[in-house]
Amino acid sequence: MAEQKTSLDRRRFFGQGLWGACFAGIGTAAGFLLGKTKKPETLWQIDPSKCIACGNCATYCVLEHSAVKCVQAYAICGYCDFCPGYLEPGARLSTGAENELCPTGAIERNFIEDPYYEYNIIEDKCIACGKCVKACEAFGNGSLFLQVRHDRCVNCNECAIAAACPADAFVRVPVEHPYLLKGVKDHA
Amino acid sequence: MDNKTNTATTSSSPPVALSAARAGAGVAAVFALIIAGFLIGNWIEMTFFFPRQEDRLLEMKQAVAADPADEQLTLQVRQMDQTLMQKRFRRLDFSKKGGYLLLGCVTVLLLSLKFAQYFEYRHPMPQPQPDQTAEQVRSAKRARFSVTVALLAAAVAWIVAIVWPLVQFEAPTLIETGPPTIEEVNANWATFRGPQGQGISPYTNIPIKWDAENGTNIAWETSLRGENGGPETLPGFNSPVIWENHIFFCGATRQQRQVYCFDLQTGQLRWARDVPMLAVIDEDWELMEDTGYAACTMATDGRRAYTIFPTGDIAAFDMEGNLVWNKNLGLPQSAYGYASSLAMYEDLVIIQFDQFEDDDGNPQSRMIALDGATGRMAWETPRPVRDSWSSPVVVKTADQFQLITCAEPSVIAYNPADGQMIWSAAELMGDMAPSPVIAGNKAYFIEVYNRIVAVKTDSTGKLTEEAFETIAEDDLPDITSPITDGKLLWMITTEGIVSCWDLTPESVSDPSERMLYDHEFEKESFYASPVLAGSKLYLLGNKGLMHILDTGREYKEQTQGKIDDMCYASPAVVDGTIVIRGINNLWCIKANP
Repeated sequence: MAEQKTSLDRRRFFGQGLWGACFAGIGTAAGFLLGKTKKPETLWQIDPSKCIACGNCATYCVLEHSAVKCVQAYAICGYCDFCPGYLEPGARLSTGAENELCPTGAIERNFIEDPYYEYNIIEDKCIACGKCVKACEAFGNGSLFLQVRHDRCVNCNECAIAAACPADAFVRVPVEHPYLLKGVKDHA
Repeated sequence: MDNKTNTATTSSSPPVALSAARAGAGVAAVFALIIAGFLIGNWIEMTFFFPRQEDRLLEMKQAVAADPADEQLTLQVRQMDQTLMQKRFRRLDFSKKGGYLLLGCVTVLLLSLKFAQYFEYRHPMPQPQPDQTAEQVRSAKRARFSVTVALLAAAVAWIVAIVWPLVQFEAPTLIETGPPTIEEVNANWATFRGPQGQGISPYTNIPIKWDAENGTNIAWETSLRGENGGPETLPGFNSPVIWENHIFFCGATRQQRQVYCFDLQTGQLRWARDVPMLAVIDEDWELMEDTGYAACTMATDGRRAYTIFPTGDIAAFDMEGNLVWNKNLGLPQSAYGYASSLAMYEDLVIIQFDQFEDDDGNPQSRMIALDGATGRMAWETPRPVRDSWSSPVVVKTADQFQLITCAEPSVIAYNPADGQMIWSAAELMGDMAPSPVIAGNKAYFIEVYNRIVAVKTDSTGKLTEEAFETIAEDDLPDITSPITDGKLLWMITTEGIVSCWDLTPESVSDPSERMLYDHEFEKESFYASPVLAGSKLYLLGNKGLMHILDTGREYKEQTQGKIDDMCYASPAVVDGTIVIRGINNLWCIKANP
């Protein structure tokens, strides 16, 4: 009996070895896939207090349509009739293209009540050029700011925009708090 | 074993499968090439041509802004804008879909090629080798050609390496973005009362005599009333500030606000710009006439010039006059009208935004620091004080910079970097207009109509009434600020009484023991704060007469300087030069101009 247990011919040895290798391969593949599906611990985000709206977000993202978008902080917005983020400096109060600052018409202006207007960002049109952000920061309340939208961002290990950001405004944020939003206390 | 399998497969593979695989590969390759071509074209269009069209659109927009009545151009702009937007998104969409399509074609191509290879496989059939001589000759030629090309490339690289350092390239324009150095600030007159807001010029070559009547030491005068080629400026009591060759000040009426930049060498107006009105003021809002609509002195860091108005509108212009940013801090509630001048710390613009309490008695005052480049708020600190008219000063004490302020009822020192309070002392009473000065480790504050007190700047936390050391109780100004050289302190009252006080005794039983002298300039009044340069004290009267005193312990008026103008602003002093803003003219005084 003892001899039978210990005897292992070459065919059985390779057969069992092949099974073992298959299981090991399946386990490794499963582990690899699980590792890939595991949420990252941190994400890229733009610190609005550092961002200078240089326009690099529009051109440096590895995605052709940048993952960075303009965001409106409604609590800060002045709902101005003449919105410096929406209209060219010195423009007439008209929504004609010649007066709009946004090159892609990504800001929507809605009448609220005289003389207040609401401004919404149409994300699919926004290219993150930052023109509205810069103007709102300089001449308005600073309610428009740029954020990495995580439904678009592929969270590269080395973010191409972060590498090109002249203000070091790209930071890693915990996945539980993926956005750095402006609050009323932040604005001047 | 393999040979057998391949032979069997090959022999059983139908020719139609091979043809289909080849045809599939061909079609996939053609499609892939076409799509790749379109994608490359798309990329070239978006990278090189589209930006030009965008620039053209911007130019057209500017043209429309310059001539809004041109309806034809406006229509063209709208059409082009729509075309470009459609093109942009169509091309982005194509880029995305084309990428997927290309990937699909390449996949089909590879699969087809693999199938074709599989169906096409034949046993190798050895053939007689052709004559290798011709091939060897060609190979030798290629080798010689390669070596020649490599040597030529090396020679070119060597020549370039030698010549490159000798080529003079145009130097890039450096944009000064960082804050100015202490040396730069001290060399200019960047804020109200110059370096650290103390009224002290580091230069000793300042003129001590001039006379507008015969032109002695008058380098130039420029009319501010639109006469003799000068511009017509708006009124304002603010003082000029100077950075290198730029003189800045502002003027305003109820309806309009302007910033002016003059050339220090020639007196010519470099530029004048309107400051947009962001504040909403109602018809009842009014200011005291003596304050006016432009009482706050501007500040500059050599990168930009900053201005604030009693409406709470604050703006920054670059040195060429372009508006960089513009904000409104809210309409300040001030009994006589907001008048505090701006201070600078590194690249922060500092605002003492003091106001009286709201209807519930809550303080509304705050210190605000804005980033000079962007206008973004760097910090904001509530202040438990009422409305005041004094200006904040940023001074270097023994071990740190302090932002020192005075208002009723507290004098407060902050860290200018973050707005944290370092020390504060109460209770002072009255309308605070004179600004603090520093001597040694003490800061001096005027409690109007009552006394001048000193507080140690190396204090921390909230100080009690005992922290105040009374220095003087007589001859106190209500508008002008005092001045000190560290040992003596001078004050000039609105009514024209100049007094000198000895700060050297650590303590005295009666403050009057510190008085060295007082002297009255009859029939003169003084709104301008004094300036100290070298061993001379400059006191500018409202009628344009500058009294120049020795800074000794006894009264001695050494010389006078005369201009024919009314003067309310404090003079600005830089290397060998005094600039005075009169009501009618801007004056530049230089020794032997």
